[in-house]
Amino acid sequence: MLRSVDSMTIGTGGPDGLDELRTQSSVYDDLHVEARRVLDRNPEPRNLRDVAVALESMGYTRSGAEALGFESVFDLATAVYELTYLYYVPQVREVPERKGAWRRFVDDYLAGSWYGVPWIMSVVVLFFGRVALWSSLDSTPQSEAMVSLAFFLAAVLSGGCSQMIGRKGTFYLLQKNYPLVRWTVTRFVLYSGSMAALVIAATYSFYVVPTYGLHLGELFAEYAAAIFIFLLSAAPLYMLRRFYTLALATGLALLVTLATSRLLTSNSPGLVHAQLLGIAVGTGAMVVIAASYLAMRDEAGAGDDDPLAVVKPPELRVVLWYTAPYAVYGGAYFVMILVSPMIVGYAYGHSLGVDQYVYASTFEGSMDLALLELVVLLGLVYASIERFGRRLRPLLESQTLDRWSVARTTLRREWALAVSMLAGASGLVAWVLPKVLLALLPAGLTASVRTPGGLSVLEVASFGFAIVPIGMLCSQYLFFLSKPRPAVTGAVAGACTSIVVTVLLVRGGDLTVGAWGLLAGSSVYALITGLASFRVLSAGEESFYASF
Amino acid sequence: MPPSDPRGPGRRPPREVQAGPTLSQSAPDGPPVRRPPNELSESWDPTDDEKRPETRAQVNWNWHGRQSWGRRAVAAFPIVAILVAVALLVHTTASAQGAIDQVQSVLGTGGATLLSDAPPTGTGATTGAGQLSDYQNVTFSQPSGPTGPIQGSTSLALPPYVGWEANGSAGADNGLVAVRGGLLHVSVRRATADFRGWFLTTTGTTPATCAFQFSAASPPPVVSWDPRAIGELVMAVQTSDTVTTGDINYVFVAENVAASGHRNLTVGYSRGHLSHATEHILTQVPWHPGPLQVAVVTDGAGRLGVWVDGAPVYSASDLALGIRPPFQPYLEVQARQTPYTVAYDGYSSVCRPDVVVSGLPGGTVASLDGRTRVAVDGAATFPAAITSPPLVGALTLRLPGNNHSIAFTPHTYWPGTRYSFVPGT
Repeated sequence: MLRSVDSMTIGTGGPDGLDELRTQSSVYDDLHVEARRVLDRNPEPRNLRDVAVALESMGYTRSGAEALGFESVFDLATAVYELTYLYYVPQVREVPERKGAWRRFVDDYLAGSWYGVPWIMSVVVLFFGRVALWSSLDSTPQSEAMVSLAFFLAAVLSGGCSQMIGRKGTFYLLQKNYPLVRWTVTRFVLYSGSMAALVIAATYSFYVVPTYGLHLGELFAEYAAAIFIFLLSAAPLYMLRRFYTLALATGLALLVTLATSRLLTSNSPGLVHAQLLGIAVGTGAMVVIAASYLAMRDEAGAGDDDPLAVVKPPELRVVLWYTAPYAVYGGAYFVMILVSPMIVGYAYGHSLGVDQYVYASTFEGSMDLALLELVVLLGLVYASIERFGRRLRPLLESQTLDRWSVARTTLRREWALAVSMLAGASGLVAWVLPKVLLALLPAGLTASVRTPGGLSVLEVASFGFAIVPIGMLCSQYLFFLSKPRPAVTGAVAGACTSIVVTVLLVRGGDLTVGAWGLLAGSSVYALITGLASFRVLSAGEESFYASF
Repeated sequence: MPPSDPRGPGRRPPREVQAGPTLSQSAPDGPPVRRPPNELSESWDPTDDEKRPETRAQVNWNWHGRQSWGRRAVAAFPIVAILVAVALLVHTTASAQGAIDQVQSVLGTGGATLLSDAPPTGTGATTGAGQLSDYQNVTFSQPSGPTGPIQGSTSLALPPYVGWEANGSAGADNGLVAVRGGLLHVSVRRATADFRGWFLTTTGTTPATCAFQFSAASPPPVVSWDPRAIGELVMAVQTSDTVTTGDINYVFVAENVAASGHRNLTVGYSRGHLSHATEHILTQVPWHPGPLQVAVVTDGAGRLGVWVDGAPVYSASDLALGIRPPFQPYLEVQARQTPYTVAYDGYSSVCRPDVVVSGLPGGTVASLDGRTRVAVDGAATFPAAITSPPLVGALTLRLPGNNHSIAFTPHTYWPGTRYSFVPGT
């Protein structure tokens, strides 16, 4: 058992007593031990302060120092510092590949852009194959309505779980604590899967079947389960940053979906076609599940060769509790960006004389097209946060205690540069990309935009989606510094704003103005997370060290 | 390693992996201890400080102490959630009956679709949640199941046609309604000495401002040796308060088929209370076999108009009908001395004129049933009075700037319906 500090203070008293104590051989041995322990904590202490910090982190207080014959921890640090040279081992540093800032930024951008590759592939396959994952150009509006409801629910549910896996799984992954990576991922998948099953079944029983009938209800349940599995199975790949594997698996899943649907749905009209397509989606999801499993085994399978390793897992409910804000954030984020089409669908149904969600193809098609902007902008978010991570630690480590104001100014400048650059790029993309997509994409894919009102929805939604990456980047700053609450507040406020504004606007009967709900929601989201992240970064080192 | 260790000599002690940050590589906290650093405890579990490394036992997975109710609840959640989910799915699937249409649609090439508008027309319609709230564009495309009883009523339900019910003087053992092959078949199954009938009617109502449009297949010949045998296809519009007042007040259009093969079309009305109701013939003209498209318009007081295939057959405004609106349509069969079955292929309560296709890009050319219209303000309008027969055929749309036309599957476009054009998704 470690010896108590208090017990070591007995018998010491006065400077003379301390001097006498210092000369004892046992204390001398202790100082050597402490020098090695200090180096264990900080392999390269640069000054006395570093040694004092290490000693304090080891539990030394004034009484502990006095037990070794020193008046204060700083006096003890002086003695220990002199001994650290005996045990200092020069660190072998891996010389990082020298890369220009812009080249590195472009590399990060391209890596981050792989996030969007599956969606680009979906659009391409949808055009050539008429079927891509859960989208089908041959679906009836009734089937489309069910698929849309199912996608909304599945995205909100899986969004929460993906964020939890991303946060806690990455936490252990960066520590190379692979048993706990697997422990975390399997439990999050199990709990979110069972939660999703419960929510989907309740929605099926208490809303969809009583409202839409059994056949469409079965379609809803089938798609909700298949899409949830598909989205969730990709979460470990995102966590492991296996973007290439993800793109490859999604491509393969697209092909499997296409082949299965061709095999099953030939000459199958309407509902049967949709039901069989749902099975095809499930089959495609199996490919991503297999890819996730292999990636996990490959990346986080270390430690399996040690049969005597004993895992002491953290308390599950504590882990769930502390990752709950990330789940709320993930769910609220998808509500914010997807709820406007839902509300417009209900308003459309109301205008058709039924109190149901009806797939409003003009609105949905325009929103989907605008959503493609994220493919371009997500890479920028990824590159910005990678650059921030690379710069933050050297910046803080190089600052002395009396020059934190310089570090804080630098961080504020870093924030302003990244956010303004992203905002500029987002504005440009929102302005240009819709026109480019309308010009380049086949008329079959953009037909809905060309119907009355479609273009105005596209223009407004473009700016709505363009603001989302700003909020994402600012949320990433907050997550980076373990401050999830403002990000959660921003996402929830954004979702609520989207709902309220869309409902208020479409009450008049003009569905095309529903896109303003997204714009309002994403603006609130970006504003709250932006202000909060600026405030947190302005606190500089306090935020950084508080995050530990 | 003690000799009694079941893992045997020469095995390494367990390596512990914890939730803390890279503990295995760092020195422990606390002031000095009198042993070399490599013997320091690597665990944050205080109980491990009490043990010497060589006596360390295998640690349980449950290392947080005794199970509390909170821990039990967290541990049980997945299995409980999945069981509840399965129970909900099974129960709902087993107890739900039939299909509820959302809105009707017409499919076109390239994934394009027409969604039909379904504005409420009835007062107090009781078609139930999720149903079309009127009786527009009713087709019999879905085969029906066996009829079943309705609580508190002598009528029979015809699943999945919620909002409709069957009844009649033939009785449940001799009357039959069934939907198959896209037709509603209404039958009197056995010959009876006097007139007996069976009908399908709506549970909801239609206001007097609407036209009642019936579409029926040609009634079959009567096959009977009895010269008095007669079969009738009856399309009637009756007051909806019969159940509460007992008044049997209705107007009707009937095609009568005699055993001799003679046919006539009869327009009339009935007025009275229960069995004392008296039938009045207003007009009766010889008729020929063939499908019937009948529109009936009445205010229930003095006005009655009947159109067949869009042509007026009877019109009067000075009658004393005494039929209190709102009304219910009756799709009926009557027979005497013969079993008889008639077939209907559609019904619609038509409450406004014209067929309108909206949501079209400006300049779109729409063609239907030999007529061509150019979209103005996003809508193409095919003029049709409420008594006009439906437009039947394949609608084609030629969008501006698009060389290919969009062709929709053949469909019956009743007057009054509004369609929203949905391009390929």
